[in-house]
Amino acid sequence: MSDKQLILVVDDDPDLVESVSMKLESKNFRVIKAYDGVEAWDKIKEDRPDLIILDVMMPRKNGYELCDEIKNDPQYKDIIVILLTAVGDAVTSTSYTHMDGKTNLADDFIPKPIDLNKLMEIVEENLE
Amino acid sequence: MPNMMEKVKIGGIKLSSKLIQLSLLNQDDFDSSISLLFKILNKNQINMPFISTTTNGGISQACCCVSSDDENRIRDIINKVENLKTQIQFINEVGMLSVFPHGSSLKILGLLLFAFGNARIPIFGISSSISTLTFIIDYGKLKKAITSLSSYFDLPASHAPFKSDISLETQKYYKKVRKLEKTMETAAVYWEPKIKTYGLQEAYNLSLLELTIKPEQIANRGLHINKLDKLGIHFKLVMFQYLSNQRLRIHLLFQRKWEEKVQKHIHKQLQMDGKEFIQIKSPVELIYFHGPHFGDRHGIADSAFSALSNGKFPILVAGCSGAAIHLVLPENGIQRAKFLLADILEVPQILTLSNHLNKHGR
Repeated sequence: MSDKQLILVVDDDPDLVESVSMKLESKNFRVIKAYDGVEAWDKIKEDRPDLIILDVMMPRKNGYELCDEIKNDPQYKDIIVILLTAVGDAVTSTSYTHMDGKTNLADDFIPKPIDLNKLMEIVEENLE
Repeated sequence: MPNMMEKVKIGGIKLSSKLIQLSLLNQDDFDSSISLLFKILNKNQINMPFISTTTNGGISQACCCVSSDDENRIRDIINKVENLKTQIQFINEVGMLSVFPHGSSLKILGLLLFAFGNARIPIFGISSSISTLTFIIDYGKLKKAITSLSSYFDLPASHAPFKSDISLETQKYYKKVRKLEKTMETAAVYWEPKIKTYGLQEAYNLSLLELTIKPEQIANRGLHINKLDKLGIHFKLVMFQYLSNQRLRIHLLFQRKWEEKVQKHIHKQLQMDGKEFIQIKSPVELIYFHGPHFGDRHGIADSAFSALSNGKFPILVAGCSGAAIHLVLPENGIQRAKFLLADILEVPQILTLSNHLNKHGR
């Protein structure tokens, strides 16, 4: 059952955090929010979410660093991490590639611009 | 004065880099001038992280903010356009301060206005997005503003007000001067046959309040707006413009069922002195959409406003900040607007945002 599962949404775009949170709440997930990697790490230690939806490029601590810290910490390594990456069909130039993401230990990826329904599918699949 | 013991919890504060504000003033063919301005900015790849426009009421005005890095370029460009060069005013060295999440709360909006007014920080514009309330103020007063807000708002212990925008100049610096083959993931360059959005929202049966005040009244009016929250009223959109006659024009959009309460409250609390202009227009409608990096993508506003302008479609008020574009339309306007926007927007689904907000009484 998903109605008690806790999801942490981390992005420095507050509008995206709000949209994703509303969608998750409509699916009966509990949601907590953070707007950069440092704040997210505090929320992880405080609330230990079941799954994290994590943006890559953020101030103070980026998504890669945070993902590495989570996956290298025995206490938190089992938390599922889904990275939001900005490499999609629409993006014609960026200095970041999927390869960067694959070198770390994230459980799944979804390209931006995200399709919220697709994101919900990925979340539910990973929590099964 | 608000009870100082009751700080309001917010999620965070976001700041921008140094910007300049352009104001396009009232003129005969206003819609065409807005479209022309956005087209020129788009053609020259100049981003607008903040836009507000209104053709509602007595004075039509459009404001937008662009990076200070683009100042010389934009002045040169505008000086070459006969229809624009005498119509645009500049405010130099401004910055955006965004507070989130606003939760559609008039308590938060009122308290923010009180805090800025009390600290004598001039406000040059405000626009709400899905989650943020963005204020345009003097760039040099951003730190003072954060200090002022800390008396009234509680931030999470580990939160630090942040800047997340990375200008094209910064990217060039990293690539050229630092000779880095790869930098962090930066502002990506998009090309889409249609602009992808996270969804398109609609709201019907709304009322649009327009109130014009003197800047020195902002703290007082903030307290009055704060009190509207106690009547159970929430906003759908907030937009402020600094007018050329040194007045602030406030647009507040809310559900029509609250119109009578708002009118009574305003007349009782604001004690109109005859110099303030006030009107309520209803019913009006709202359409809004949100997508990745909208504030960093110069083509979005041009595409959206051109699509509506080409269809001779009136926009009463537009507010674009954060990553969202809000358009207030006359009654029965949404279906036609959707038809016109369908050519430029890809809407993957209808979010349940409206249902969510309605469920929570907002």
